[in-house]
Amino acid sequence: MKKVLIKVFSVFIVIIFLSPIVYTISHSFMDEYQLKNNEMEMVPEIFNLQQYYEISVEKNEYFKLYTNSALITAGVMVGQVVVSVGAAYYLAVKKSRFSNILFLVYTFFMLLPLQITLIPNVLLYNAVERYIGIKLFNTHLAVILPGIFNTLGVFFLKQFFESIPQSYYEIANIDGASNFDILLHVVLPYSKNAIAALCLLIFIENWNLIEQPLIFLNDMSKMPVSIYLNTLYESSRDIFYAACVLFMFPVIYVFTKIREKLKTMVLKN
Amino acid sequence: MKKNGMTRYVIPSFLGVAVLYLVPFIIAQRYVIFPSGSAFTEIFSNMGFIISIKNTIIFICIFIPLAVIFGFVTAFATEYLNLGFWVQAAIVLPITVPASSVSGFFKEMASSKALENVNGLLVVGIIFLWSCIGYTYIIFLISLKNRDKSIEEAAYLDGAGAFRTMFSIMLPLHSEAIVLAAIVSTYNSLKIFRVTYAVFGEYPNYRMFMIQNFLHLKLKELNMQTLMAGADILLAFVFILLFLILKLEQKHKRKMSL
Repeated sequence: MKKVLIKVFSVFIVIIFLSPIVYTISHSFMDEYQLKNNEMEMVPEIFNLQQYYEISVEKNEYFKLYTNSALITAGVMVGQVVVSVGAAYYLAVKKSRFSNILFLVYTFFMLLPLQITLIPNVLLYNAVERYIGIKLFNTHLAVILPGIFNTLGVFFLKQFFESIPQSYYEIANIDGASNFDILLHVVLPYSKNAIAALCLLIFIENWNLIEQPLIFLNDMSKMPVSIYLNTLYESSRDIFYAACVLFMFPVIYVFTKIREKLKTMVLKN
Repeated sequence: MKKNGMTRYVIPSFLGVAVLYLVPFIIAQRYVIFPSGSAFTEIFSNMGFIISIKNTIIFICIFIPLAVIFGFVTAFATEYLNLGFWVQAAIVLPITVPASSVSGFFKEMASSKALENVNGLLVVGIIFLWSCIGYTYIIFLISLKNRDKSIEEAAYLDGAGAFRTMFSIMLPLHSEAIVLAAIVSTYNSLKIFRVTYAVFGEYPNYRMFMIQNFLHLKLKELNMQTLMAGADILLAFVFILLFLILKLEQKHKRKMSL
């Protein structure tokens, strides 16, 4: 009896949490007619791939936007990891009053909501355009730059670098390794998993960009998919759900890849 | 370790943060400090600002406790009823799924007949809970996995009931996790703009108009004086949050050193 109750309870939780995702996937296989007259139906009457066909053949601007999303995410990821590794290495090794204050400032900026951190960005871009004459608005660089210097990466990696045993540094130092050698041959190999986890965080965060493109970009052809989907729901609902599924596919794919790692991480901690 | 020559590793990051964030923000304070009128009294007579602050406070007061409670309940159930892997995966998965990609479901839900007369804030809250319970769930799960089981057994042998064990032992033992979960949920609630945008667009109904929406509109208009006054108020709130985190960390360190 108890076992049955537990089963029912688990199924209940799974249904609640997965229904938005399942709903989107099942709707991507519906035809136009059913989508129009639909009142929260879950199962397609006629299974068809019309939506995917239209996206890939007729409305192929979708893939242009998809590459925009990929470009921005990749740019932020590479930039932020490179910048963060350096800064985190400094903050973890060098202990001075300056580095402590710097770390506090970084933590503070990490907590700030985007509506605040976008203000200095906009002011800077305005100033650059006025005094230097380089137009940053409406370019992908305007979105990527603030992402690169997001302080989340520094915060995350610094905590990890500090957990590396001090003796590793000492031994490398006795062997005559320079700071750069230590970073390259001791710190980085040791923290492979942490950097992978950081990449995942950056990916999740930047794949779903909303605030930055709304402020920095004007042309629809430069927007990432996350913005485009919002207009797509009104303009052409017949391909909306397929576009959603294609958009969330990479995230779910990555999630299924790392779930084992996640499990061991939870158990180990 | 050679301590000199380390500075060059931090320079790119430091320059970037200073130029992109710190310096322009400090310079922008002139809009608040030397305005024609007083920026702060003006903003409090702004109707949009008052509504947005009210909605934000209501939102935080209702949905952050709910996020913590649901996270605790689901983690508790996972641990004691041995719920399977699928349950864990289902709860954590929404963290990663972009809000805009499942907006179809929530749009249909918000416009369905059952929720026609319901406050829009509730719909935003439900989506917030859906996407954020994963974080509190993980925090409580880690805390529950690390607990000392003998304490509960001792309480059981002493004749403590389930309620007594819950309130006198479980909650105090996991108080740190509770505070951490509340902080993480607050941090997530600051990012609520994404959800509102994905489901209700750039100009939502006034019932779900929050401080983030207000600042977003002012930034689009480049209305610097109101914008900076509003941003500073939100900044003060985040500052308190940071202070709480630091206190928590100190407490944790002290506990570890004992």
